[in-house]
Amino acid sequence: MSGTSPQLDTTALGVTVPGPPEGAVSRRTLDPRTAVAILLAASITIMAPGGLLFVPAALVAGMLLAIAERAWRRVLALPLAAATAAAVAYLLPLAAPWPVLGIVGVMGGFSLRLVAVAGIAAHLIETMPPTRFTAALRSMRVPHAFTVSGSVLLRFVPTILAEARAVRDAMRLRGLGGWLDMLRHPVRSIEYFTVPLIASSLRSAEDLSASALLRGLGSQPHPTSMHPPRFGPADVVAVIVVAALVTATLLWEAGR
Amino acid sequence: MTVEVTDHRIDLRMSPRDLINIGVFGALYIVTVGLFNLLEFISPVMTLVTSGLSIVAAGVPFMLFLTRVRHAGMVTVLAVIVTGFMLLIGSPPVTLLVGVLGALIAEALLYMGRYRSRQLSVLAYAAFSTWFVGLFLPMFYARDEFLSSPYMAEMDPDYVEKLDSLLSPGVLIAFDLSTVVFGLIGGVLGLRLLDKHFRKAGLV
Repeated sequence: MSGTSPQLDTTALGVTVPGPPEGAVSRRTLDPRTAVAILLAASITIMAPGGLLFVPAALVAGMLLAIAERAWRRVLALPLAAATAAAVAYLLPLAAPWPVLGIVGVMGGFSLRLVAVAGIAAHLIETMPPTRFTAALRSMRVPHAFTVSGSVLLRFVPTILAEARAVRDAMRLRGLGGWLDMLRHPVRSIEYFTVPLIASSLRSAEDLSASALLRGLGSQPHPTSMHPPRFGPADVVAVIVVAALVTATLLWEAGR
Repeated sequence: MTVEVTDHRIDLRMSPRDLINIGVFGALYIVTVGLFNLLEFISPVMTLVTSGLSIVAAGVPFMLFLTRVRHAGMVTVLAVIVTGFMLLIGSPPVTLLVGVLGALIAEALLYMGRYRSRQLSVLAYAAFSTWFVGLFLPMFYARDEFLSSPYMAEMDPDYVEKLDSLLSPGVLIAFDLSTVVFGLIGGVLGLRLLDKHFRKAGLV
């Protein structure tokens, strides 16, 4: 794929197009399967009992992924968020020893784990177009009931978010909505929000599903892919780095 | 998918239209849950309130989804893709297991009602909603580790004891049971709105 990208990067006028075109795969991007494996490994170890041990390794992995992706804001935001969560968990109880705040402390400890996993998840969300992701799921032999419905889900979430924005604007125009209103009349706000959201989303769903059925979605158990997922040098590097991080964590734990 | 047509007529065959319906309603469900959970950013203490609110709100798309379910397997597939999506955005992996278990119970309830019973569909939504428990299950160990951490050892033992009682497993289990209660409320609300709006509009 990388061989054809120079032609795609410049237009006929010689103007450089900012960013790679949709669907193009750069050599620095991980294969979706590697990214998912790293995410699952991090989330299984961190969310298990005693998983706090792996939080630093996951944070480093998340930061390295952000650097590889050149998402500089995340490179800074990730350690900041983790430090805030750790401070809430460990410094707040020292500063103000009230049991009620202790609950906030325990939640801070939980958020620390969430932040560590979310750093890796953010990379997956930012770099994986839904089509590449479902192609990878198919090559992992995930049953087609899950890949077809899953790809429809990923296709629809942005559409529904756009509808939700429209519904919220319409509610504001009529002086409804607002957080306080929602808490005062929860059931009424649920009705005012979900009913138009569902009605308008289903209308666009009709069109999209007719078009998808016409193009044969779900009729062929093994659709082929324009860019079949392939493991590349980036995946090898990622696996080596993760292995190094795990070894370092285990050695550090053994040395304590 | 395996095709299984027995005397009890448990038919797992999915037509492409079924799969598209699952995907569409999965997306509606996730967006509803996500948007009502945004309130959480007001303060983390709101977490319990917002998960309750989002369980109730997501009852509306779920009950509408059930009107399009005619056979076994659809609720389970919905649970897998919804919790799988949650996994991708960083939720604990237990969520997937809890979600599938809840969905299987929901399937059994729906099957008992021949996919048409209104009462059983409300119960099915309550069973489905238990996947929220998975999001908070790690709180159990987070609590143990936190209370036994070296930082807590330096604290006043009285304080640790009070915190222990405030966050006792009993309290956490009560929260887990509350998802079922919110699920029942959401199911009833969903049915009411179905009658009030969607049936008239011909969407059911």
